[in-house]
Amino acid sequence: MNLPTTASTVYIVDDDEAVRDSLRWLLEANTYRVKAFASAEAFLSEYREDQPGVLIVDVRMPGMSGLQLQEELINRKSLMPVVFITGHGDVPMAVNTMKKGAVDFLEKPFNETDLREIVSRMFEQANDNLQKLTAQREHEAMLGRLTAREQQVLERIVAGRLNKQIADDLGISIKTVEAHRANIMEKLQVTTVADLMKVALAAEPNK
Amino acid sequence: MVLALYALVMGAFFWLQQIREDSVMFVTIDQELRQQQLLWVVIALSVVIVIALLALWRYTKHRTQTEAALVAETAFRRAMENSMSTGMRVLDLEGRIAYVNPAFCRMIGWNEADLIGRRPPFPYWVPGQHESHRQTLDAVISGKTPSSGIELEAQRRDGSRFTARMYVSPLLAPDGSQIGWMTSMTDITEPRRIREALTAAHERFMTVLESLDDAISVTADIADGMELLFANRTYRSLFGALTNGHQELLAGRRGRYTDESVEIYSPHVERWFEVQHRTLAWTDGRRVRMQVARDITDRRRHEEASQLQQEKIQLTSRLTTMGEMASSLAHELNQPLTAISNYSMGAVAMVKSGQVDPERLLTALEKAAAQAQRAGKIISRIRDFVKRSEPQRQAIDIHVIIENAISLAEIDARKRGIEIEHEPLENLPSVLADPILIEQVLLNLIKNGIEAMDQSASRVLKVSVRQQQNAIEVAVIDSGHGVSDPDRLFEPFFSTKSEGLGMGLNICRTIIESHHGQLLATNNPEGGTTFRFTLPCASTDAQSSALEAAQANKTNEEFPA
Repeated sequence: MNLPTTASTVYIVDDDEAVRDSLRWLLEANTYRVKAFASAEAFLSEYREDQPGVLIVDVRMPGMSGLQLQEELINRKSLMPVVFITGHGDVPMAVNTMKKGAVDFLEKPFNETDLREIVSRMFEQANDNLQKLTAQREHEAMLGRLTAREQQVLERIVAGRLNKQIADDLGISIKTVEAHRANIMEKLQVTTVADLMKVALAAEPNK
Repeated sequence: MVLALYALVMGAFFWLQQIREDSVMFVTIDQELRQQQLLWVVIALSVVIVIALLALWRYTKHRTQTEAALVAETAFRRAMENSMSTGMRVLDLEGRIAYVNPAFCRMIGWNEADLIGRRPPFPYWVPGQHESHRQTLDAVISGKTPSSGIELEAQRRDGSRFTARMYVSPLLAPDGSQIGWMTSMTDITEPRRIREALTAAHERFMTVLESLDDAISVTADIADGMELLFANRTYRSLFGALTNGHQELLAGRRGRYTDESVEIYSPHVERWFEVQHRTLAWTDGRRVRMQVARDITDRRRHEEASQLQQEKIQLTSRLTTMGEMASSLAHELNQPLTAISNYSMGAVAMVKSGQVDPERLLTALEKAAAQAQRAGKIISRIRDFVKRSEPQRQAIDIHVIIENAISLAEIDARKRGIEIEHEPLENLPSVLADPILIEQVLLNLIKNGIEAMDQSASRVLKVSVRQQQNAIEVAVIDSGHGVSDPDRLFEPFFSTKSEGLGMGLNICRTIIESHHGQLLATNNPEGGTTFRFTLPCASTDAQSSALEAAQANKTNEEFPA
């Protein structure tokens, strides 16, 4: 599965046509690619994990609200940064959404400088997320190439066991352990034990 | 006389005997003469006997009559003695009982035979009180008893006791010498019980009257004022034993005798009373006024507090509705404004980038204009709303509105340690205004002032009133941070407060202007801001409202705030 290298699309979800259209116009004039939706439901029906980007969503909407959409994205393990459009800041709501990972708030009417700053920060975060995801996917792919025995040996290396102990654990000779170890290093394209540990641990969360 | 007649008859008899002897000896000569003499003697004797018999009969008859009269008299006296309810007793000079009547015996339960001849101590003396009985007896015997009598307690034969009143008088013989003491005794146990019961009843009645929390007073009109005939403790403690209080609570009803009940404020004791007036006929027959005044200050205070509470709740809900409306209006207006802003900024960005696509730019600008129209429509909807809620104007004392607004703002002010100062002016004409709306304006201005004074050293916010020809000016003077540009304050959506909507003062100005008044803000030279608004006086608008104003003033006099 190939992921795009950079995120470039701004997704807008707002029920008010004028706000939605004008925001699209403003962002496009600032050279962003924009996709606008009139409701959270419409957005979700088109949303796929392999579409990286940032999401600008109105808090107040009929049907699914902006906050519910954020929840849904968290459930889907989306890494898409979210910014909320509000009429006037509501502190408890703000705290709540920030905790869940929303980058910021955009207060109507928008200040162009703020908007640009927020959107660019969101893209930074999106790209950061994307890179991390790509690296993780690669590591996972490499780990997938290990044989079952090699994986057993790797687990024990990560756990800090010595070759002799590993040999005893698995009932094999030290020489065999050393051979597995060499194979693992080669398959994971690392030269030091430290790098080996990094790759093994980076893949860990997704296990 | 009978004896004399007898002697005469005997004399005549002896004389006759002689004659007969004579006649035996001398029959011859004087025979004839002698016979005649004898006849006369016999006749005379017969007459004498008849007379004697008559006299005897008359005497016997007289005696019988006298005896009968005596018997009747004795019986009458006996009957009198027996039927008398007063106990009679005679003591001889040595203190022995010489006589008792049946009533006396009945009274003490001893027989006459047990008493006659007895010396003290007498059987009816109360055991243990012999000494006092003896003293009484000594007083009786020495004649020192008062003519009004003496009261003493006695014991009956059966042991029961009774109270008696005893009168003593000397008993005199027909020749005027004293032979003893006559005492008469009446059982006064029952009258005394009745008297005591009456006294107790009176005391109870007085205790109740005295301990009543109502002030009770009775007065009569006299030539030079009023006479206080009765006043209970509550009345005396409130007004003293004077007619002042009664007069005050009469509230101009002097001279009138009516049964009515009114609520009156007494400035003298600073309390409210529910006063009942009743006309009574006094013990001396005069027409008097009774006044029962119940202190209802606490009740009234409670009523006023709950009424105020009610008003507060109403106002709060009204303000909440207003707040909700303002919030939803803000949201609605925000949409087109955001769109206009976005289109314009986008257009600016496009022009700046140098890659102008005229067609796209035109579309964006048209859309921006359309959104401006949309905003305009929202504004006219607000106007319609304001029109629909036209103020309900009436002639009202501006102080009523001010006091209400202050009482509502005071909770907040106290919390922030700020004192709201207001000195009412007397004799101000009424204003023509919707009290609720003006109250809201005032409340808004006071709250703004309080909030502005959060950081300032001075903790007093002043509300002052003055008259300007045909208008009343109210000023809210704070000593807060002041504002850099007072005129901008009234622009919609302009707010110096971080959480403010910026609609408050704008709405306030609209309200005041709809009342044909003005709302202005100026910075005070010594710091802080003054908001002034004017309202037209009621009398300048119409004659009828002047009347209303007069009535409103009257009401206010009756119920001082």
